[in-house]
Amino acid sequence: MPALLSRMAQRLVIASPRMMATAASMQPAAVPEKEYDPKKTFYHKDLEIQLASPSQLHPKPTDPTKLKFGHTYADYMMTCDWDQDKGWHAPKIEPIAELKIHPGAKVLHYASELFEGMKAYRGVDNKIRMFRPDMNMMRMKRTALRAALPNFDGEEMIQILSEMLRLDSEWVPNSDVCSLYMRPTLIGTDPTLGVGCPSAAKMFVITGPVGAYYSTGFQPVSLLADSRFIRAFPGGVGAYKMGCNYAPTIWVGKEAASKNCQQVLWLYGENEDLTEVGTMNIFLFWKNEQGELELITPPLHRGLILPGVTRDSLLELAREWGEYKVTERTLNMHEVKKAISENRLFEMFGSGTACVVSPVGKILYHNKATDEYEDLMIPTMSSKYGIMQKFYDTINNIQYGRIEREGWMREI
Amino acid sequence: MQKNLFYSTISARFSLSSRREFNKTFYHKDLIVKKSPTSCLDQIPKDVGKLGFGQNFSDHMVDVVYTDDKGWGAPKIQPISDFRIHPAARALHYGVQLFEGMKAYHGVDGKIRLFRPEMNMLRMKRSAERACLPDFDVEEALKVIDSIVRLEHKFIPKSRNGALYVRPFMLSAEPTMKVAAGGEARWAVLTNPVGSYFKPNDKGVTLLADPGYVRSWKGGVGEFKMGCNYAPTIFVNKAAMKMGCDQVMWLSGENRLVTEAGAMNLFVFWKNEQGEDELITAPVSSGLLLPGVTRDSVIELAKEWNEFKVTERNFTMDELSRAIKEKRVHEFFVSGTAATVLPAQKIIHKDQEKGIDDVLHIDTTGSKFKLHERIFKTITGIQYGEIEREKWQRIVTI
Repeated sequence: MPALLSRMAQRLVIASPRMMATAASMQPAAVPEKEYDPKKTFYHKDLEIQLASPSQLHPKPTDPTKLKFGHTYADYMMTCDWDQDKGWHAPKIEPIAELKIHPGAKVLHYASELFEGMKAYRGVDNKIRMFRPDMNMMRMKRTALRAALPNFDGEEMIQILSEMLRLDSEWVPNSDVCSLYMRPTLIGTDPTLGVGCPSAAKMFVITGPVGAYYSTGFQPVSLLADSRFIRAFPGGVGAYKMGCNYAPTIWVGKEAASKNCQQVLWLYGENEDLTEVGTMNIFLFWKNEQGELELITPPLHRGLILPGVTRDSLLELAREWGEYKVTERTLNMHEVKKAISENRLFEMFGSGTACVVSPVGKILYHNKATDEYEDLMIPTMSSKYGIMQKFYDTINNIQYGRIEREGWMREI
Repeated sequence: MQKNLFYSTISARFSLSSRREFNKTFYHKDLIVKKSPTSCLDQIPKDVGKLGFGQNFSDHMVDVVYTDDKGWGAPKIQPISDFRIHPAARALHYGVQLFEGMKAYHGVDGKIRLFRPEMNMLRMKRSAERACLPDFDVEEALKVIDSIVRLEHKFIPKSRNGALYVRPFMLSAEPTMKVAAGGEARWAVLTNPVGSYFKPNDKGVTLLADPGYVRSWKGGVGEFKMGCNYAPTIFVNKAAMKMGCDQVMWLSGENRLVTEAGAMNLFVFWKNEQGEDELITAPVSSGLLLPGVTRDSVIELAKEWNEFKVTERNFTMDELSRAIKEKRVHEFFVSGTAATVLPAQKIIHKDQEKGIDDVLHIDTTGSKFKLHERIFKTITGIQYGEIEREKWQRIVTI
């Protein structure tokens, strides 16, 4: 028991409320010396593979560019069970099938669940690569800690994901506008209705091919910005990829759709700070009040936004290029409106795994003082700077192997 | 229930009648019952003190499936068994799920009663609208719940310390990974024989009040019984227990509004700054707390008694802390289905930003008013049929 307590104490210290924000930074932790311990992780070397029978193999899509997100799944899934006594069991790769879950499982009542979203690409050289999977695994581990779900080793997981990609390699589309989306998920499965730490859990991964996000070129989106709805708040879990951050947004998404907006621009607080857009991070390129060209995105430290892998990648690239000022700071609607009225806002775009970048064409802003809606036009598509386009091209070139970048692509 | 932004916009656009032509609800008359050939009744502890909460399931469950094409299917009562769920189901990824909690009691007169179950079903419908899950009819749902309680009546402890916990819940089983509304859904009910939820010492529970951990915020979904309000609290509870607390007292906003404790509502019985005895609780209109059925019952009873002022208004941790220090707080208690009411004895108040690190003592159980005891006796008296209050008691005939 003392060992357990001290471990718990360590975990709690790591994630005490004021540390949450710093824990959300993207720095990798030192990898400790490994010794076999199923209490700590599952292992790639224990992997059991059950090959699909011919009847379990599904026909591959004929035109992958037409595939919608999240409708088609590849042949295999990974599952791995955990329980408090034994720790992790042997991971399995098997033909995709329905999960059997006790109706009293915590995942069905208290949203004891979290996930990741990442992609594998078939490069122009026909090699399959994952984009920065270590970043997703680090975030998944941090989320697991906050969700009171079990920890695991990210590198073991990446090796298992690689194994899945080998088995499902035909599902990685042979197209430089398509990819295979991968969805690692961790859920609490013990059937007890007390709101407490899960004593059993299941890790699973499903994958599915996704088509071109922009089949007819960039489509600028309209955003509903209404500070009466919030996505996250200080002291909450907005910085973690827990399922609970998503359910409440569906109704607000419908509200946006009813006003002809495709996404929600999530604002926070009295000053209406910009935080995220839909399920993406947000970037602005403008001339700031000091007259400098500046790329700006909200910071991670308040715990209000998800530390996106694409966000991190864009910041890293922009800082390397050194062509303009790059700033992570809190930014509010007042500043955005002022910049628009002074013709200083050139580009606004979302960033995420699904689309890399997504241009914003319009904001439908609910003015809380007047209770009226205002149209704010954003000239992203006619910007002479081409900032968003350069990000899109560069990231795509890296993902499809046209540009080499040390440490970002994990080849299978 | 006070109207707010959510209710007014939602009722205008998602009114039941305009949503679909057919099977807008499931019907009790369509109920299919498949009985279990065996029973686990013998394995359930006979001593209610050993039942715990939510660990022992009865033999059967209710399961109803909804699809976009057909609407609701026929409700089924069947032996409890694993759900078969597509691994992409939205309930597993995006927390698209909600639940209710209520109890069936074995009365001193041998009758079985549900306590105000229509309140739970109305709240469940509101949660469903906010979670973009399908609507259903309250009375049909209640009749289905009656049926499972009737079938499982042998599991209801014949003790004034026990009850059959009834857990209706809904989830999205739609196997497309878009964060969106629609598709396949389930409505289900589990039942558990339960004892008392907490076993605190006689003096009551100890609460951790730390604004660094937040349950709900203006503009969020704190007032709905959606699964997403619970996952984030598990870790915080663990931290609180580590500090010797039983529950977390949730504060919200810059001004540290006192909202809930654990998964329960809370009440302060104090002498207010005007010198009046007053029972005070946070208002549901703030959208920050769950409109509890027990909470509503406490307020209704206290207003009927008409012996002291009863107030629903926002109050801050500052106000509460000051009142405790000035020895103006007679009683502090929490309310919920699991425990009815539970006295609190201590609040560990930590606020790093304001440099506060206090331990606040409240002698709730030593109060000369004995208000929480009176509330407990009255509500449990109604639940176990010692006190008649027809509109709060739904009798399930065997």
